[in-house]
Amino acid sequence: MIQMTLNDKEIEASENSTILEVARKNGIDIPTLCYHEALEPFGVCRLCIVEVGGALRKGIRISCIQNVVDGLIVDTESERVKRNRRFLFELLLARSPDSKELIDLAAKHGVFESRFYEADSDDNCVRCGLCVRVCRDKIGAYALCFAHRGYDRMVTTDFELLSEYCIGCGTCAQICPTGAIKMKDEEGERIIYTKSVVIGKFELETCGKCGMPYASRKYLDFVKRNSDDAMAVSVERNLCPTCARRTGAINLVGQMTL
Amino acid sequence: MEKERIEKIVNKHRNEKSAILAILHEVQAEDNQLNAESLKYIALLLGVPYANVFGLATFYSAFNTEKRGKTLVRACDGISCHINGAEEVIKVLKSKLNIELGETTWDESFGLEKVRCLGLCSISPNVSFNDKTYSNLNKEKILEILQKVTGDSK
Repeated sequence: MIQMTLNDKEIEASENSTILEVARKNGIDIPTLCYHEALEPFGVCRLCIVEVGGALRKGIRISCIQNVVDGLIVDTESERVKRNRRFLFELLLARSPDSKELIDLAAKHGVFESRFYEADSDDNCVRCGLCVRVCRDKIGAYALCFAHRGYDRMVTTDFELLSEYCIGCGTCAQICPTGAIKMKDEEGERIIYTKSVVIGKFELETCGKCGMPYASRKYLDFVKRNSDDAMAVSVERNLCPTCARRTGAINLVGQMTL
Repeated sequence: MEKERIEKIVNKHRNEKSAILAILHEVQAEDNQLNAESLKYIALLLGVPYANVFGLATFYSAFNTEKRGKTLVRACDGISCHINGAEEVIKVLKSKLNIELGETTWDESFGLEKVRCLGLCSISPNVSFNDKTYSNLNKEKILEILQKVTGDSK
């Protein structure tokens, strides 16, 4: 354990944790876009900036990649931090002016418009890389990548075509902080798409009990291939999450009454 | 490109992941492009995710995923070249090759591209034809060079 000061309060924190983790543990809200607990910090959205002093040289740091040290003084809401953060929000808004999530988050921090030239597109992507990282590190499907560079950098599939590696799990759509990747389940078909690319298109398997379409065949095969036997058995039961829970509960209750 | 050729190139680099850039360079030199099949096969041989290889091939401007002209004309429009009249030179190139920037001639013999700096600012403006660079250009000189180069290629 180490001693540090967080917003004028003496606190204890465990080593090897980042400033962001310590702040969130202590109930202090720091806005982030590219951070997710499940993934390695990436440090690209820069919204999590804080002002440090004491043990580290005084200045602005990215709290999601800066580890805490003994005797550190952190201020998450100083004037300098707020000014810089407003600037960052303006830059992000210039990139993705139509993202509802981003507009709301910016408004929460007092930014309502950007002084910069707005991209005349409905591109909601802020290039935080969450989708690429989760597809690569957690799912292991490797369907998404960053292509091109500089202003043209974009999240895409290989050759901007329907990906043959996509399994249709929808994690990218779920993790996207700005709603750039969308997922639509319609008439037994699942489409995952961004503004410019259709990532995946799948026929959905229907639940054996209630007949509701719930997951793609490729996803179920992927789960079966990459998990233990118990999971494989539950995949083979061919039930949607609701029905699976229900049968599980019924089985449990049945066992209890016996 | 045929699979055997790619295998040969990859084997030459001992199937090292770290040699991927060199491999891509060699495949492109032979094929004049990196198409989906080649990239996919390289990814398979090296055990690298295909999406990563695609990201790499689009990140560097030295690689192209579409067919580019046999002779790639890189016209420098960096600051020094721009001041010394690169625009005139590019205009002549465009009208003589009858293509816009980033396009390829109909017979795939020439591709035209604007680049930021060729590193020869002291003898600007510069235009490079594949590996050969011509410097201190003006309207007349570039016409002369074009005539020579197009004559050579025929």
